[in-house]
Amino acid sequence: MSGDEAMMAEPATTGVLAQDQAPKAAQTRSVPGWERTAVDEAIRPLAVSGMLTCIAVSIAQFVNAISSEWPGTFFVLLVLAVSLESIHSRRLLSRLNLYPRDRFRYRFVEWVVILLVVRFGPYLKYGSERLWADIAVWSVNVGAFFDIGFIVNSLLIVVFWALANTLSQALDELEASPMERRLPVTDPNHYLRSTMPRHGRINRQASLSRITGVFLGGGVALLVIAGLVQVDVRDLVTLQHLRSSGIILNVLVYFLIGFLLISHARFSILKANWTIQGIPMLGHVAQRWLALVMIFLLGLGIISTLLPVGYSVGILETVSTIIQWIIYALVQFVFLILFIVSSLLGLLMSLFRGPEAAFTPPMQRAEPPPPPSSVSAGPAPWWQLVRSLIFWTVLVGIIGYSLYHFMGYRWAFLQRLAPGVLLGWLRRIWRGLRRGTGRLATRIRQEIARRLTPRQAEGAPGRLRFLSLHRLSPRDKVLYFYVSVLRRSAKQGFGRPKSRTPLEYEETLRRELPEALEQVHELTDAFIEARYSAHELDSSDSTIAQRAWRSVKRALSGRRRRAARARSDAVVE
Amino acid sequence: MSHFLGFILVLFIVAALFRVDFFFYLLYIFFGIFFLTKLWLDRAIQHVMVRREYVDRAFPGERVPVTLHVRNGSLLPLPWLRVHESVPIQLKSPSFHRSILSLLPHEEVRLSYELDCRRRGYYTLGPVLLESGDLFGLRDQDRRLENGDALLVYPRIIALRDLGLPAQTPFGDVPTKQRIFEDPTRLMGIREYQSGDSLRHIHWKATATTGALQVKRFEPAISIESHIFLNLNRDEYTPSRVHSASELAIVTAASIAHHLIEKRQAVGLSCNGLDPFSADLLSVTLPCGKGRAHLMGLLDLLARVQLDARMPFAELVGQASLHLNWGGTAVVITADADDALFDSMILMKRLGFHVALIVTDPRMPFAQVERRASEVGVLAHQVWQEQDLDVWR
Repeated sequence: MSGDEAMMAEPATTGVLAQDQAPKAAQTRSVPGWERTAVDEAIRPLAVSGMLTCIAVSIAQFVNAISSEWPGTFFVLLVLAVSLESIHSRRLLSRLNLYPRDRFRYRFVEWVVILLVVRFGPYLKYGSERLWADIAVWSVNVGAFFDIGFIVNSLLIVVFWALANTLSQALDELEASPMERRLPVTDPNHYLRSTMPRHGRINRQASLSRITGVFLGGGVALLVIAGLVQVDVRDLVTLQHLRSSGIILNVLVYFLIGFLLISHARFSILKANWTIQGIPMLGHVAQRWLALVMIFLLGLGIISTLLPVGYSVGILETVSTIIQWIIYALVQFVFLILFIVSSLLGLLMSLFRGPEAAFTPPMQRAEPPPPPSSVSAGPAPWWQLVRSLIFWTVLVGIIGYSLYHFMGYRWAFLQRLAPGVLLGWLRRIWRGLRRGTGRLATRIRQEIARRLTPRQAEGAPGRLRFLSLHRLSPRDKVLYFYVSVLRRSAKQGFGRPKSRTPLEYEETLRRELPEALEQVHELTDAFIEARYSAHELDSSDSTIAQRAWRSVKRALSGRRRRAARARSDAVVE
Repeated sequence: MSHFLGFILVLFIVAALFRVDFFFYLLYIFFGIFFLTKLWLDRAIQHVMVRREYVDRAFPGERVPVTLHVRNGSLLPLPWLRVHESVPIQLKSPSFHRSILSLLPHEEVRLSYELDCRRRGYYTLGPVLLESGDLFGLRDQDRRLENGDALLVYPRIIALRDLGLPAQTPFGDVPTKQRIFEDPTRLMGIREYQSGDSLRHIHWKATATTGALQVKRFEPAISIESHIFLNLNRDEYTPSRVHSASELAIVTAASIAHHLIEKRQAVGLSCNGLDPFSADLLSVTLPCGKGRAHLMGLLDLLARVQLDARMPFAELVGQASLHLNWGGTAVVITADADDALFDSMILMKRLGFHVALIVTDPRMPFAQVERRASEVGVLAHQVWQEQDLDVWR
């Protein structure tokens, strides 16, 4: 039994108590303090800065290819320093937890220093004479200080600074936070944790996606710039450039660090999840992880070097040659069969002839067509054809596989784009737009009405109160009649409280308007029907309601006059 | 993962555009990572084997150590493997055992945990959920393993030394209320010959030695066959005590069976509970038998049997008593004795059986049950708690 097995089999991992204690034990066993510090303070910052510096190297090479005067080495070193500074300052600020004002002051000072370095650093290459000359120019024209070179350099530095910040933050977010761990009910932070969104859990997958996005996006930029360094742009346009071989060191380092970083991020996420869930990690998972990543990448690299990276024979020519060879083989086979059959027939025929047949000359095999001529002008060696064949097969396989899966992930979306579905989709969009604009118009009308209502209640001058009864539908007419009665009754001091139903309010109206008992009932009934029924109302309904409305209106006017007269009498007395 | 594919396509375009060899190497590496991780994971996790090592029977109060042997049968290593073993909550809290490990080719790791057998029952262990993933976060894969392992926890057995069950046999005519029979296979000693002793029982060697007739003395045997009727009809128990009273009934049945078999008597069992192994049967019956193996079979049944509500107990007693041998003892263990059960017991008495009634959840005062039972010649006992079985110790 190995040491690992013995450790795993020991009774310490058993039982309820051991289950609870195991995570701590596993954590302390697998990640010692010094290792954690080394990873946080040195390895991660160096890895991130190294990746970004690799991109800077290609940028420097590209710009130097255009203008050899540009201080490329300084730029590379500056990117390295700024990336380290960005990571360090972010960690420092998150640790110090400063006030926003102090944080701003820190950043301001930091950026002033960085910009000064960007401005004056290149003079290490240009020399002091040029510095003095430029200072003289700046003293006359301050705007000359911010020349195009300085602005471009500053922008590039800002980009690298931000990328380093993003990557560092995303990597730090992968670690398990103490708030994420399940706390006992007696812990003061238990309630705080339970009220936090997602119970304080961090979306680590988003952080990993961010790291992967930066890595792959940076990789694309790096490849394009490195490609531009290798190939003349004019040849690129005409596609007449030659193949370039050899390892591009900074690209190799970039992707190596990138893969290790992604793998490390993946392990950090898993470890954080296991820690939060309290699952013990047995054995040397961390150490084996690193070893397996290295072995896997190394093995993959070796396999890759064995595969062909170029071709002597084009894909169409290769396919053509293969088809010709297949046809040649088939023809050979047919001729062989024919030869055998004709030989047998000849033998059979000779049995029926006389002895003179023995002197018949032997049958000659028909000449098959010659083998297919080699592609292109000269004869290509067979291994060139094989290498080209492997190259194209692998490449077509990769592209086919990638496209298949790429489409597979988007299949649901692509199905929605089918012609019939597309029309339906467009129709739905159009309907949605119409519905949306209709709703918007309604909202606007309601908003205008809402804003105008207080003014109307106050009797503000200049208000527009034009309403054509002829244009209203029978239902709207009935509603209008009832609301009109409500408004008038409210003016006389017995309006309908919101808490009362129309039927309850009918009692009030009947009490106040005894001369129009029937009409009040008719109007209330008509309103209830118009307001709460689903069937169509015709003009006869609105006519009945209108008749009732007029009577009620008259009764209301009479009541108002009577009240006014009573008031005037009271005043006279 | 979609990022990766997109990047591979872009990389292909860049490589084809610039015709830089190194970019093609990168293309191969990226594609290799994408493609080989899938193959790797698929193959590796399919070859993981999990085996449980444990004792599959236990008594309440025992702790059963379980060892999970997790073996990677493939040539490919697994960078991480999450093993989640599900366990019934009655045996372990929390109801799982989880571990993270990594497995090299053909490596085996042993994970250990313990099950705390607190209640009788038939418990299935597992399933084991395995989860693994690649090194770059491109994909995860899981697998569920179910191998039907189970643990049987027997009911508690309380040693009964003085059960006092009545019995009757067709042999002999000793004029005592409780007839005593002698077992000729169990020699207890010798004594001097008395008038009426059978000549077959004379111990000739001892007679020759002592010079006077000596006869063999045998151990008494009071019963030759007992049958236990156990009521596990859920509806016949008080809802508030259904679990405790039914468990008590099972413990009583197991204790009596154990006691009788220790006394070398034949015991059978009829029960209207649900046996998971034969769920379609309305009742379970074990015919009378003797010996350790029979006791273990009986305890197995009592360990796994569950409450049911399909068959009334009186019906079970009526049906099962038809197959009993005359003169045996029927031990009726039930929640309460209603009229139908008393009718069945009276019938058994008339058929020549001796009947003992044990109630665990009487709905009327036990004195009434006891009085009514004594009127029909049935000995009644009440078991309210497991400690009540002490009256028979």
